[in-house]
Amino acid sequence: MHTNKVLNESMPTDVQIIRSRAELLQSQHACFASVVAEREYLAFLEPPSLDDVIAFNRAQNERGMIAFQAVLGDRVVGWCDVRPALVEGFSHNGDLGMGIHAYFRSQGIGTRLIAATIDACWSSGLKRISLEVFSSNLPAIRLYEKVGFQTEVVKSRGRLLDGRYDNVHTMGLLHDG
Amino acid sequence: MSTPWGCFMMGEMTIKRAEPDDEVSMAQMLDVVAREEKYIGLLVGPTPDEVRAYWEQPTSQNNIVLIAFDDDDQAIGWVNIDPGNLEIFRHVAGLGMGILPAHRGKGLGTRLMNVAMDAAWDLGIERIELRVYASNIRAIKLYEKVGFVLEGVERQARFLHGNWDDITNMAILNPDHMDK
Repeated sequence: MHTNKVLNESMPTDVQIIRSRAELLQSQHACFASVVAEREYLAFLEPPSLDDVIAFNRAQNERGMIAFQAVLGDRVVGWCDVRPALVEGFSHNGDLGMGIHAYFRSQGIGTRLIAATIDACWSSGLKRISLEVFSSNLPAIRLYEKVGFQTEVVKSRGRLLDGRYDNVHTMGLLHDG
Repeated sequence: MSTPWGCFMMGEMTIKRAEPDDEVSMAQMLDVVAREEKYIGLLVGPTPDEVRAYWEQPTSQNNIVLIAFDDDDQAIGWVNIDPGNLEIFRHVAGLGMGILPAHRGKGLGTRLMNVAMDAAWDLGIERIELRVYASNIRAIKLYEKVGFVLEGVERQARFLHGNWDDITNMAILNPDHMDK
């Protein structure tokens, strides 16, 4: 029987990886906002509103976004999505973004999320996935390298946060190598 | 002032900030360069209304658009400096440029780049970045000449009419900030 201690006692296998469900967007937004609040990992320092996120997701879904959620029951603890480019000549490529709630890191959820997303991308016909990550975000870079991404670009001083510079990596994963 | 032997002289040419009525010229130039399919991401140009709408977006309000006009006041090239909108990227500006085919190879690209870089540093920009097709050797040489360095290559980032191309990423840091 689950108690209020479920967060501390849940097994990683209790977390399911599912195609994103619109009715869980509010929970996903809360997860996203908590990662934004850490300030270190994502481009935003303030989260967009829930209404903006719902509208954005609706528009992206119409444009073929591939999206997965990591869920513990009805609570979203991580997300991963790939947005295909729209302009002819680039539509074989999708841009990836993901995040995991701090309590749920280092448990293999990121690997499961991104693996499911990549498989779905290749099945949908994409040939390339790109992402950007801050150089200081070593756990993320290790995860991306583990699943085959390669650093392609290092943008020197690409980020300026609280007076500190960081580099930004562009990483790419090609279908068929 | 034009000269009788115009083909030997560069002639008078001015570079100035785009004004609202310039969206027609901008759309025409973009259409010419887009249809070459070798230089920019667009394959057809936007309409003048689309150019105006883009210029009027809140996220475009810090952008600088510079247009080069020949001595007949025809628009022959452009360069744009687009500062980042998110707080952590505001010190960075993306750069794009293009020149009509008849006016390439005359040094206009160098002039546009130098004017653009001066404008960006005046704004307080600390880093200018650009993306260029790996096959666009002439542009890459221009960027190297004015001080941009290679930061990497996005592999197979473009696929058009059966042909793959990479996208080269280059950047320059504001020399006045290098002691920070």
